[in-house]
Amino acid sequence: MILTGPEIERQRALGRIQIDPFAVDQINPNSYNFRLGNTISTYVNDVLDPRVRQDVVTEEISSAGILLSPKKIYLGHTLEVMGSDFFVPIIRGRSSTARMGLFVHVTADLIDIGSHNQWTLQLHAVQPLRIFPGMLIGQVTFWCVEGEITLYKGKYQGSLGPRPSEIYKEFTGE
Amino acid sequence: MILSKNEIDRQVRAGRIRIAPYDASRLNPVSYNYRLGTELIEVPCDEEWYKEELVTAIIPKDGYLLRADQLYLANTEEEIGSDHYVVSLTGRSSIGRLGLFVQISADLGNLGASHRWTLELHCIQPIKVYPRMTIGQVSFWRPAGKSYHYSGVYSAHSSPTPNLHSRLES
Repeated sequence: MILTGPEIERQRALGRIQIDPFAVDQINPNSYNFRLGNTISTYVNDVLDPRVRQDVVTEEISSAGILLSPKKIYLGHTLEVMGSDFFVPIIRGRSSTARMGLFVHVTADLIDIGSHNQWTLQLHAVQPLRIFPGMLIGQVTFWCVEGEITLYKGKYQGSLGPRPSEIYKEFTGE
Repeated sequence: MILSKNEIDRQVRAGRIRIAPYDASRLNPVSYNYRLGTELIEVPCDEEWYKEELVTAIIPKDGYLLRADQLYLANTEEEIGSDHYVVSLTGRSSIGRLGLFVQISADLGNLGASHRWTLELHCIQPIKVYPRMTIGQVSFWRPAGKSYHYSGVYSAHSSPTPNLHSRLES
């Protein structure tokens, strides 16, 4: 079951959904539009090896925006700190950004219940595209859970700004 | 409704969700971490690729370097499925943060299908993958309404399986 826009607003007022800062005019019929934060990271290496810590370069996105290249993965973040201990968030782009060929996540749309962060966005442009800090870039939906809840206590908890992959810490390949 | 960690575990033990092999330590708050299998197919960049013999490679222990201009098919190490809950297979955020797509657009499984799932791998920057690395997560959703079970062309396949429709139709 997916929450409607008015239900997202009601659950936020009850403290069961965190969206901070929150603006009523960013509510859609069954989702909430989030904004792009103003820092962005790229990996130093071209070839990425998940067994090894990958260093990043982090920069501020100026009001003139930043031009994304289709050949790189960019790590952005939501301007809002979001999360819920009661509902499961799923993020995706807005149709308006997707129509410009922008992915806001790569393959991982499901946010763990209990994960409260500025969520890291995995930005990928199909063709070169300029993006701007504060733009309405994606939307989050909230879903009901069946069964006893265990909250997220993982390595990305409490992230502010873009967080690179930490898969090297628990690498489990052969 | 999406199943919580505890509910996935309960339904696996009740035989209503199949994950084999199963390891409860791989459960996340609302999903289960699955592993990459050991086989990989480079899909030829050729208009008539479906007429070509596809070569299945074994992913070596020291890793297989994926190129950014290429589509690869791999599979899950585990057999996963349920007659009672709908599966959705995605990548993990730790993999997405490295720019690796683990499925392309099609994350939804069919009710009743239980097998090793074919993964569509595509990377934005070159990336190494390793056999049996933890690559993605599967979530389980309660459906509404009368159900019937998948009996399509991919149901019998446990190896990475290419598009069989274009092959059947050609």
